[in-house]
Formats: sequence, structure tokens, C-alpha cells
Amino acid sequence: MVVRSLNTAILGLAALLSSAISAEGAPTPTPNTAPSPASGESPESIANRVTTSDSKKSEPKIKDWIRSYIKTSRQQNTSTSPVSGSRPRFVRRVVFATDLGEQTGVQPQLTAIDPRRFNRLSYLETLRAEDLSWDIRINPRKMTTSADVAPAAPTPAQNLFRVGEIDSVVVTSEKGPWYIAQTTPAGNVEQVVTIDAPKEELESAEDFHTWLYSSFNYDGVILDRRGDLLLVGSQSVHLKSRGTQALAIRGTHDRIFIDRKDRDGAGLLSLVESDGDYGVFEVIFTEKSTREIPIGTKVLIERSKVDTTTD
Amino acid sequence: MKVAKKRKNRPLQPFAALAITCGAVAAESDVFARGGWFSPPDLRVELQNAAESPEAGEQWQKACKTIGRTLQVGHGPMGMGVFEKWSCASQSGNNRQARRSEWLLTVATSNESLNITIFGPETGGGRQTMATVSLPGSNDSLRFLGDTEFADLVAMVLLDQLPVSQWITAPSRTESSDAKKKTDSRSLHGPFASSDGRSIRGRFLRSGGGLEPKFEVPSPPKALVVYRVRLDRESDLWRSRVEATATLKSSNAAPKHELRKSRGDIDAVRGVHVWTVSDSPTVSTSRLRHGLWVHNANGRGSRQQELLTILTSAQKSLAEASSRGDLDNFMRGGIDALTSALMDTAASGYLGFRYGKQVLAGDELLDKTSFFGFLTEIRGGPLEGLRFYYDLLPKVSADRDGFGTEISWSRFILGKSFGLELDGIIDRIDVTPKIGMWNLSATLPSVLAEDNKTVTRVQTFGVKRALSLGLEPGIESKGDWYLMRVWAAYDIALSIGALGGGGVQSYRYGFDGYFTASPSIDVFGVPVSTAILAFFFFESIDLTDGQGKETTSDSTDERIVGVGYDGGYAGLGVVLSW
Repeated sequence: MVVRSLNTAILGLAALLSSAISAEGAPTPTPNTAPSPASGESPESIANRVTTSDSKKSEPKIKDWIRSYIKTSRQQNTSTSPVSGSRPRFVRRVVFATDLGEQTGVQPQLTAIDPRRFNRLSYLETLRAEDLSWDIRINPRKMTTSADVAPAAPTPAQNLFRVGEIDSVVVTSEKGPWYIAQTTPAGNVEQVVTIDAPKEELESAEDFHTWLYSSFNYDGVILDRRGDLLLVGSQSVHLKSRGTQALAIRGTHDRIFIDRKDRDGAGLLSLVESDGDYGVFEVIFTEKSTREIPIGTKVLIERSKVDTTTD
Repeated sequence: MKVAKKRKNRPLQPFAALAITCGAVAAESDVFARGGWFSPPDLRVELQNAAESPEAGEQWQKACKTIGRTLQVGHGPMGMGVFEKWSCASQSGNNRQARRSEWLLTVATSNESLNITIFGPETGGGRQTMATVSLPGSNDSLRFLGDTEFADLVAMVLLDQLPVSQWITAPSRTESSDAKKKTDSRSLHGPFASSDGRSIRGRFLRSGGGLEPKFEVPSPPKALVVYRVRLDRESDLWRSRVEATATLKSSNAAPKHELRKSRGDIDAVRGVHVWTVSDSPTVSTSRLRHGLWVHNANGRGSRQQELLTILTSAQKSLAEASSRGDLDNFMRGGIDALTSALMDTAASGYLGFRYGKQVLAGDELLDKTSFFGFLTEIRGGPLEGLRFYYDLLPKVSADRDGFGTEISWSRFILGKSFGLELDGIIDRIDVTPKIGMWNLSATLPSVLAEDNKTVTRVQTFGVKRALSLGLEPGIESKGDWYLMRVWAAYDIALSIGALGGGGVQSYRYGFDGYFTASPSIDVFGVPVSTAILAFFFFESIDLTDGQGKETTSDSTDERIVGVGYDGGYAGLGVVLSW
């Protein structure tokens, strides 16, 4: 059922975008002038643009892009530079904790989840609790601030984000509500959104992943952009076929969760290359009011080219 | 006086900036070669400013060697030490620069301060400060650093600040046979990780050659973390892979007699701490062969306040000794040889009382006998090993077929034990030559009837102040709360004619078990502990007649020249040791 409705939504968006083109006589220009499949270039040739040696200077290979993105994003996670405008919000590098220590001032109590099992399931990444807890204890607690003030000693929660270079903590408190915490541009830790606790106790790494990933109500997130190419984090199962289409959902770049009814398309994407749980998509169409699909936008991925027997 | 004179003659060093160059930081160097995991680097130790006199140069060399060695893998207190090798910058002016792959330890001293800093790996440009300690200055700061006990404390303060403080490895195959012999938790020798990764060992802090530490001794960490670590140059963060945790199992002090033997040895090991590695996760042998880091589980720098307080107090004590011209003596342990010997003699010993009942004889007379014993031993000073025994068999009597029989004896014995300490199940073998004096008075059955029961004759035997000679070999096995001793003894006592002319031969063997009864308590500054003694010994005594009287019920004039009897005594006692 999910696949059918998703396909309907994508086809609906395509129809919408087509009518917009008809009405105005020309397609809405994409941020990049690179040709799209709609203009007659095959997906294979677009893939070549990403991977062939001719394009190495301008478009790195996807593995390099992923590596570069992960490195940059980890640094950004610890950056306290103020960011103007609406900040992208999503979960990628995450740890689970029963207590963040914000109230007590003690070290966060991390939940032991096997990262070797968790990390192979999607673009989501977690860390070994024992290692991170120890890293906190062997790295000096220093913190630079953007303001011209003396360096402040970080709180235990701030130190967790800094040392772990994480973007999110899922706090699974036994007493209070469950929530996701992230840092503000100033480096403070804040509760971003509450989340319904699962009805059944989470035990394995797979349990934690399934519960969190399904709570998102989307298939992937746009992590980075190079020209008209978008790096999307998802699950490898969605990223097996070139030409697989995805719907970028409007107004979701600063939301961690979306509702099932959120289907307003910001643009239609097409997969040109993938590596594991990451895919490079090209923008085919954008909705006419959308000048650029922002990083952090959530996407729904076409299932017709995915093995649907499980749906 | 000699010290004071030297100080007067020595040029003042207004800012004798000493730089100990510890082997330092590795920028993409071999210390990160093993799969990116950090392994022990080398250390260069430098004196910041050149020493201004040959004497200061000598002091620097000693200080540098002491600090360098204390920071070396496996050589620091409590198993600490992170540097593979170390080298000292000499004061000859012919020095090389510290290599990039080396970490650097600098010592800067002046009348105002003593600053020691370790510089470590750096992500770009110069060296990054990894650990530092600042203390009040003194003219003798370099001499202070040459004191192994003080250096241990300095090392603890510095290593506590590093992301790693201890490096453990499994012994290689060639070392394994020796390691098996030495990994006993009570062994005072390495290795610092057992071959199976089940325990971690580290020595007590040194005492600088004295019998007791001059300074307060920090407690060992109750828990350790065992891990691999690498430096993430992008984030400048240390990234670990935790392999296991370990908890303090025991702290085994060296036997006092061993400490006494090593008096004056500035490197003497005073005892060993043992931490037990957790079952889950466990440390694989292969990981251990490559080596793993260890740190106090409370984390980097968690003991700074406590350790700095102790170190500052120690520095103050040294400075006070220096100001009164007594530094050399203070650093040696504080008392001169004769006083020390006397103090040692009194400062350690053993005193025990015991009482036992006859358990074997099956004889009306001997069954009534009981045994009192007193034993004291000196365990220090030039008289170490001197033992004094007083044994008493109180007089008992019994009627045997109309004859009155009785027995009593006492003996004073002085012995001196000579022992050999061993590693293994048997901890000590010793032999004790003895000399003493016996008194014995006995009227015993000497002839029995044909039924072999009825007494037909008794005879009186006696020795008075008979000189005795004896020999007692023994073996000991000891644990944290017990000591077992198996021994045998042969004594012979002969009276001189005027004193009776009789003789006694005693063959004994027995078993003593000492069990700790209470923790040690402080009595006038001396730790005194108590133990319960359980013992059994078998004794065979042969008496020979000198001028003994004879009482008979028959007409035989045949004279009996000797009798013998066997007995066994079992009992309990109480022991005080200090």
C-alpha cells in the first residue's frame, strides 16, 4: 500500500510539474544548467558525469563525496558558528542515552548498542557507548566559543556532542518523555522534538534502528549538494536502480519527523549513482515556487523499482 | 655539613631553566604505525637552561635519568609508564634537537619555581602541551628530581594528565616460561600483564632507599580501563576502542625482611598491586601481544587535585630538609646507620604463646601432660632471624602398678635462622642452628612384666642445665592471610657430670599454621597485627641415665641406662607481629 500511494504521489507531482511547464511554456530552471534525463540525456550518462575521469575535477566520485561529506559534517557538528536562517535538521550520527545529564551535571548515561549491526542498516550511524564514554574522559574538556569570551567548560551534554561529533542524541528516559536533542548554533543542547516511546521494549540494535527510522516517515534525507546533484542518505535497498525517482518534500529541511500526510513536492529527483546507503540524485523538476531544494529536505523514494514483494 | 658547604660554593642559578626533553610527539610517525593506533613513543628530556656548574650538570644527569626511567613503559609507579625509550639532553652543549617523532619533556627550574612539561603530538605546527606541573622553586630542585620516591610522585601527576598512562603487553613466547614463574600475584617482579590477559600488575611507589616512604603515598586506582587509542588529527581528539576494564584485586606489600635486605636500594620494589581484568569484554591475547593502553577509569586528570597536594607536600619536605642541610640524609630515609640498625631491630618482630595437649601417647602419665611454649623472633636489624624459645612441660604424676611416675621438663633455646626466599608454592626454606639449656626430671617405667603392661621397675632420670645443640630446617608457604610452616628438629642435650650426667635427645617434626586474626593496629606508631596459631608436633625423646635412682619390685640388679617415649601435642596459640 505504501508503494502504491507513494507512486501515486510521485506521478501526481510529475503531472503537477508538467502542467506547470505547459502553463508557463518552459520548465522551471533547476539551480544547475546540467542536462537532465528529461532533456534527453540518459541516466547512464549522468552517472558517468559523476564517476568518469573527465568529471573528476568538478564532480568527485561518490565514495569521495561521501567521505568528504562525513568528514565535513562531523566537523560541523562541533562547530558553534552562528548560522543565519532556518537550520537544516535531521538525524545521521546519533547516540542513544537514558540520561543526558543536563539536570544532574553527571556524565550522560549511554545505551550500549552494537554499531556494527546498527550502522549497516541505513545512513544512520551510531557509536560504541563504551568507546564514546571513555573518549569523553580522555579528551580535555575544552570548548571554544564564537563570541569573544573566555572559553567555557562545556556541560556534560555539550561534551558528548563535541567529543562524539554527533548531531543527535535520542534520549530514552525511563521517567520523562523520549526526545531528540541537538545543539543550537551557539553550542547549547536543546530538546528538538519529543517522540513517542515504542510500545515494546527495544533490545537489539535492529530494534532501535527500525523504531527510529520508521518514526521519521520518510525514506531519506538530502545531506549535501554539488551543483544539481544531491547526496541523499537512505537505505541501500532503495538505491539499487539508476533512474529510481524520489520526491523531495517541501518545507521539511528543518524538521526531524514528518507526517504521513506531508506529500507536497518540492522537486522530483532521479538516482544516478549509489554506494551503499548513499545515493546521488539529480534534480529533474522543481516545483515552480522552489528555487532550490535545501539541504535537510526529506525525500520519499519510488518503490516501483524496488523489490515490492515485502510491501 | 657537606651538603651545606656544597650549596655555599655552588653559583646561584637565578633561573636555571631546566628542560628535560622527553621523547616526544609523533607527527604521522612510527608511534601511529600500527594500524593507526597509538603506541609508546620515545621521550627526549631537556633542561631548559644549561646547568651552570659541573655539579649541577651531574645533578641534572641524575634527575633526567630518574624522571626518564620513571616515565618509561613498565617502570613507573603502579605499572605506569608510556614511553618506549628516553634520552637525556646533556649539558655539554653538544646536543641534538628532539626528533619530531619524540615527545619532549622540559624542566625549567629557578629559585621561584620548578616547571615540568610534557609536549605531545601536534596536529599542525609546534608541539602541543600534554601535561604540566608547577612547584615552588628551590636551589636543590634538580636534586629533588633525582630522588626516586619524589620522581614517582612527579610521574603520577604527569601521567594522570595524559590520555594514556600505562602500556601493557603479553610476554613473548620466549619470555613466557619466565613469566609463568613471575606472574604470581605476590611476586615483586614483572611482567606487568599476565600472559593470558587476566590481570594487570604494578609496583608500589618506591621509598627512595628508606624502609618506609618519606612522603604520603597515593592510593592505587580502584578501577582501570584497558583500550587502544588513536589521535584523530582532524578533530584533535583521542579516539579509543575500549577492550576491557579491570578492578583492584589486592595490594601485596613486600615482606619486611625483603625490604630490609634492599635498604638503600633506591629502586627496591615495596610491593605489587594487582588488578583483575573483567570477563566481559575480555582482552584477547593477540590484542595484548600488540599492546594496550591502561588508565585510571575515572579518566584523564581525575586525580590532579589529590596528587598535586601530595606532590606539593613532598616538595615542601625536601625543601625543608635542604634548608637545614640534611637533604642527603633525608633522601636516604632519614636516620643514620647505627640508629637505623637499632630501630630496625626493635621495629619488627614476632611474639607468640601457645598451649597444647598430648594427643597421641596412650600412657597414663603422658596423657596428662600439656605443653606451654613461648617464641619470639627478631625480624630486623643485624639480629634479624634470631629466635628465642622457652618450652615448658609442667610436672605431672601418675601411679603405675604401685609405682609413682612423674615427668617435667623445660628448655631454653636460642636460634638463628638462615633462609632462602623462593617464588612458587614454597616461599621460603630456612635452617636454624640452635643452642640451649634443658632441665628434665622424670621417673618413668623402665621395665615391664611379660604382659608388656605391668610395670615392674621405674627409674628416675634427670638433667639439669644441660647444654643442648640442635638444628631445625623448615619450609614456609604464605598467602595474604595465612602462613604455613612444616619443620623438623633434632636436639641433643648432655649434662656435665656434676650436674647429673644424663642426656636427652629429641626428634621432632611438626606443622604450624598462622592465620591473620585482625587488621594491623597502630601502637605507638608501629603497626601491630595479630594471628591465631594452630600447631601439631610429634616428639620422640630418648633419655639416658646419669646417676638416676632405681626402684624395683624384683631382685634384678640389672641397671637400665635409658628409656624413650613418644608423644604428640596439638594446640592453639596467639601471635603478635609488628
